[in-house]
This record gives sequence, C-alpha cells and structure tokens, in this order.
Amino acid sequence: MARFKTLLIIPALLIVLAMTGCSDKQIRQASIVLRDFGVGLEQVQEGFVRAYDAGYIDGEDYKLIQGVIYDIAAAGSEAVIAMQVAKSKPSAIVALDKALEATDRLLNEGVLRVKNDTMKQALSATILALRTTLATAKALLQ
Amino acid sequence: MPSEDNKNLLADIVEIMRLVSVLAPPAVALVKMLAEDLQGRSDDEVLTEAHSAFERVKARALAEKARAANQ
Repeated sequence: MARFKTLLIIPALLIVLAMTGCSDKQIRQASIVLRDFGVGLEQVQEGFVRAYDAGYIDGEDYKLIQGVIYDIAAAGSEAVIAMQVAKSKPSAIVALDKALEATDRLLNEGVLRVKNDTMKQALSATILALRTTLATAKALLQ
Repeated sequence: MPSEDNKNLLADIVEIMRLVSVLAPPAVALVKMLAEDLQGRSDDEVLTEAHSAFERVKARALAEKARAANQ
C-alpha cells in the first residue's frame, strides 16, 4: 500500500516541478502545467483501463468513462491550439473551462462506477490532483 | 480454510498491487524526466508535447470504447 501512496503524490510532484522549474513567464508556466496535465491524464486513463481489465467496471460504464476522458483530452488539445497557434489567452481559458467541466464529470459520474473501493479512492485522489493542475494552468492565464 | 470474502479480498489486493507495479514506475520515471528536461525547452516544444499527449489520450479513448463494444 506504501507504493500506492507513491502513485497519489505524483500529480502533486508534477505541479511543484512545473511551478519551480521554469522561467517566471506565466505563459511558459501554463504551457508546462498543461503538458503535465496531458501526461497525467494518460496515467489516469491507464488506471481506468486496468480497472476495466480487472473486471471492476462494466462495459457500458467503461464506454461512458472513456467518452468523458476523450472530452477532457479534446478540450486540452483545444487549449494548446489556442495558446500555440491563435496565441489567444481568452480562447485557451474557455477550453480549460471545458476541460474542468469534463474532469468534474469524470469525478462525479465516472469514478463512482468503479466497483472496487480502494481503486475508486486512488483514482479519485489522482483526478482531484489533476484538476488542481488544470485550475493552476487557468489561473496562470488570467 | 479462508472464507469466500477473504479470498475475494486477497484477489483484490493482488490485483491492486499488480496495478501499482504497472503504474508507479512509469510515473516515477516521468517525474525524473520532467525534472531533467525543463531546461532549454521552448514554449512551442512544451505545447507540442502537451498536444501529443492529448492526441494519444483521444486515440486510446476511441480504441478502448471500440474494444468494450466488441466484448
């Protein structure tokens, strides 16, 4: 179980690294936080895949969960394009709001469908930490 | 003789430890990688990496939905 705790502190470490390891430009910090969010989202997705393979999620629920994860990633991509191509902070913030809304859906609807309490708690904690990462990226752009 | 509940609990613990063993090493490696590569990266490179991660998640989400539909 100690190794489980290691998994839970990863997103927190990512935030600390993102906030301390780069230049003082807010746009750069937001870029790094967004990248860390993307990589963290891959880890969360992997967690749901493993939970499904272990039989802790029903097929219909799993399709719904992957659909919500897709929505989060699509909004993340939108935020990146707004920052990289359009150079538009307002558009990036709108996209990040969409990602936050979808992340809340994953927390409120997706995680509840996992039929194993320990795994449910681990996924909840990791997604909450990722949500904090996302809110940080948004705050840096405001 | 272990009860059915105890057997289920043991199976859960074994499965969770298997999950952690899969997830934790890449996560730790990721933190080390991030610490090493923050220097010298342009904003554009960082955003391109972010975009690639989101696109990988999108592609896998579609593949996983299709896999669940076929099972």
